[in-house]
Amino acid sequence: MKINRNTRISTLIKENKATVDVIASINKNFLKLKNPILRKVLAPRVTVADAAKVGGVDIEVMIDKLKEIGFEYEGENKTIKNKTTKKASMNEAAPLKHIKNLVTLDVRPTLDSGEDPFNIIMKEVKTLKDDQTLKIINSFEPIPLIRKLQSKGYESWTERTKEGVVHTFFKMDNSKWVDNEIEEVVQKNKKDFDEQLTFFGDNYKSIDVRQLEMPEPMVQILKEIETLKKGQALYVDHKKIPQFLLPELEVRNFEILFKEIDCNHTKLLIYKSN
Amino acid sequence: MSTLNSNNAPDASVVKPHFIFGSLALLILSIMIIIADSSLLGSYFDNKVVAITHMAVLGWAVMIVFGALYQLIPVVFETSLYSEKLAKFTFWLSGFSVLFLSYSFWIGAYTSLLIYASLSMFISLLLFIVNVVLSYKNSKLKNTSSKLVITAVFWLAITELIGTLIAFNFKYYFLSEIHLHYLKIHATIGLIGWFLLLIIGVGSTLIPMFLVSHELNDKKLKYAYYFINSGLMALSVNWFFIHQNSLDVLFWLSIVIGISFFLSFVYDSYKKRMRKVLDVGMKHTMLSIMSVILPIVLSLVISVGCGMEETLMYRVITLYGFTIIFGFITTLILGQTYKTLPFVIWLDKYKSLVGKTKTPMPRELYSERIASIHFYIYFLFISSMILGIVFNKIWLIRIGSYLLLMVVVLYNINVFKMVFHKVKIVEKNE
Repeated sequence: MKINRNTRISTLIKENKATVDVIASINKNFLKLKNPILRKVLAPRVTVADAAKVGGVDIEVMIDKLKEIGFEYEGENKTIKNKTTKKASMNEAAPLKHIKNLVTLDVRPTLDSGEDPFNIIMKEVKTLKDDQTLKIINSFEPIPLIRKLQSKGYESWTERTKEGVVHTFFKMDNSKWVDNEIEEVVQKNKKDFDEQLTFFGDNYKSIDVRQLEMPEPMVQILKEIETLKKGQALYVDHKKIPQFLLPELEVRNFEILFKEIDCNHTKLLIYKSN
Repeated sequence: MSTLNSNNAPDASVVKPHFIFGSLALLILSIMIIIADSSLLGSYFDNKVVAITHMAVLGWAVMIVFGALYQLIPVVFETSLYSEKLAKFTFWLSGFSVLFLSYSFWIGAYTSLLIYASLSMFISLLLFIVNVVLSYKNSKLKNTSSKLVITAVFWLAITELIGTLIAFNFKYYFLSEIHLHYLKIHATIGLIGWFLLLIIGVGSTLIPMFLVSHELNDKKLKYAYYFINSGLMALSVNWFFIHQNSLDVLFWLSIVIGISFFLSFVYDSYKKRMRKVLDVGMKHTMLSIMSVILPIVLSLVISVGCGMEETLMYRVITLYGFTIIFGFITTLILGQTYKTLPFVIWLDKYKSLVGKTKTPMPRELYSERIASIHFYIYFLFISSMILGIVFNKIWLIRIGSYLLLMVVVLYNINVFKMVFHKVKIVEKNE
């Protein structure tokens, strides 16, 4: 199997179970991969490049190890690499000066007991006030957490005080536009909706299911998507977001975007995922 | 991109058992009514009447409401149920508790079994409340309907709290007033705060959905919400602490105004509907909503009719409970079973086949004929019971109770037909 720096660890494990042992043998930072619970939580969220960073090793070391068990590495994309490294170093060199009101949370005992500290940390974050800084003491750099919180408007930086101990700091960054997650999703969806609609041009089929009684709208939509031509989208006038249709679209590999016109009218754009 | 939480629908294994238990509880209930016989014309706080009431309200109505609500949380709250495991555990605990509680009342074990039964019931309802409140916390949709549902759940908590206190008081005597006073508060809050608000909350989403009517006036729901809640709140405070009976009519009026706003909302929905022909489920629903007038009138009679002879008063109070539980709630649930359960089963069995092959529709999973027949028998049952209670005629009660048994058997046939439905693929012949 061909891999690159953005391949997820979960994909590697799915392909070859030995991945776990091989990576764990690199150094003791990776031992937590052997813990099935942590593995389940971390592996899908972490790429090869992230993993190298988590373990504090060069990505080449990781790749060499992976090559040993038969993975092929695809040609390096220099620009991406530089970008990532730059971002990473910025992350670590972040200012230490304005640490006041420090709240410290040591999650190492939780990790040792084999549990995922993610929820504990998120709970702590919820109660964190804007002028407080949260310090997480951990045995690795919690990349998924950093990403999650950065998307919520937190700035973060890390310090490695000694071997195997990582301090990660989070502070609400008030300078950035921050809104709650839902608003963000809705905004993003609106933008994507219009973009996608333009992308399909007039290559879509439109139906209006607002006059139909439940579950006819769902039946109609599922019937229609089966007859869509390649690259064609289905443009639906619906009363609201069809809750019971969503899982079925996912199973059938369809994407859905929505745009609310008013409380009784939502436009849906449904198309085959790539 | 998965911007929408795509799997909000609960598993059918969470919802289905509630419908099975509920319809069997209705069967037990109808047998209890036959056995209770003349007790129904005695006092409304007779052992057997209280046992029947709890079987009806908790075993039948609450069970189905729980199941339906778990299914509807994605629709009313636009989020998934907080915990399906908790819902399953709650099901077993409340199933056990209802039977235990009803049995304790039936044999009159007020100072022994009842305490354990009510405690067990209390815990199971509390677990349900926790599950719904935590789901609501994740909810993105805070509109009047979802507010009504969550307020109803709050009143359920108060109802069960008072109920449990009464049960403990039978043994430990710590309440200042006689039991009947607390029983009145318990029943009023349970029926109006929990059932009525829940029905308005869920109904305001579902009725327009099933009738396919658009552009309804949300303001009416808001008024309904505020009038009913403030009336009920004032009434409970008055009954608990102030004891100014003359004020009751005022609070009664507030609640009635609130209900009228809801009735007007339903009427709008009915007028603007695109689906002109009502199916058997919606016929039940409309009959139920109209029948809400009866308890309103009766409650006025009870609150002003002080000069009434005591035995007649008792029967009027029994009738009041009967019109709410059987006229309003049961009719609605019978009807909504035909709107909810077929969809649950259909979604479970056919969702992956829809569009790929011709599948039956939810309404084809039960016999509409059987449902129509029991709809008319049910109407006879209600009439016969009302006349029997008013005119104190035991033979009318007896006829009524056997009519109910017929309804229940037919209803159970349909429910089990749906529950045991096997996937049928209709050959495509186009």
